[in-house]
Amino acid sequence: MKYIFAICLLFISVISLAQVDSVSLKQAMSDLDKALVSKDEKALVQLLHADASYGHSNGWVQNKTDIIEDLKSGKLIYDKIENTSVTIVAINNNWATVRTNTNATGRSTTIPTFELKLHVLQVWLKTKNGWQLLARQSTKL
Amino acid sequence: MKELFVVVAMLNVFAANAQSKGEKQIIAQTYLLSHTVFSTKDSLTLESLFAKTATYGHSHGNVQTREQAIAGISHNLSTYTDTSVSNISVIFGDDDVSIVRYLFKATEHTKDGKAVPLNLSIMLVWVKEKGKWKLFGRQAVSTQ
Repeated sequence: MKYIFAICLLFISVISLAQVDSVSLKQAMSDLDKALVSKDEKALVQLLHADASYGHSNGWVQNKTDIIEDLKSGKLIYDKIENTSVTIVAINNNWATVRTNTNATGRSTTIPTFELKLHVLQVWLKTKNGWQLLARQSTKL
Repeated sequence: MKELFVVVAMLNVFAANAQSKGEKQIIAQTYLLSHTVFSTKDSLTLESLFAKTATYGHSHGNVQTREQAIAGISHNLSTYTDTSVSNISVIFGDDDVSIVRYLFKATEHTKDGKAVPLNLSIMLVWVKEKGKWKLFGRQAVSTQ
């Protein structure tokens, strides 16, 4: 009986650990979107993997330096990034894949205003600095 | 001191070899995947490449599970000519997680006789599982 109790307890802890993971991942996702809108360089440095690759719906791909520099220079400005759905497809202690439907509005040097409905695939890595975005690719819905 | 240097240099060579070996495998699998999707449509090859939880995203936004994607590809009635894979790049997040990006061009010949140009930018997520690189995610975007 004692063993059954111990085993149950173990399962419960494993389940709650997995839940904590997805909670911290969703927090990192929301922090990244906020940092992109508010041009929070410190948060971006923390949340983007050194080799991050950020693919847009027109095929343009930015690396970590591009993302930060293009926000600073005004090449790309986000007014709002809002997820209408978030699905964590796979998650473990090292990485996660997520699919979202996202509405993004903003401006760029070539487009005065954009208002996009996107589907996005994101890949996150759990590093010693917490969850970091490794790659992202969007396409227009 | 000199010995230490040699050991460190050797370790670097090993690490570089391991990465380039991984990179070679991933590029080979990427070509195999592309060839299978747009030419042979062989479901057994797809089953060996796709992880159980793989998701497959098309350029117009619909997303398929492993089973849906394999069924869709193997029953696809379109044929493709002038196919090309270019600008392939591999990023390693760590030893077991890698991202591939490449451009895919082709002419799609639909079953009702139309010829449609395809210009896709494709991102793949390959993860090493029990020593083998498996496809965990694919997202295409049209660049035309």
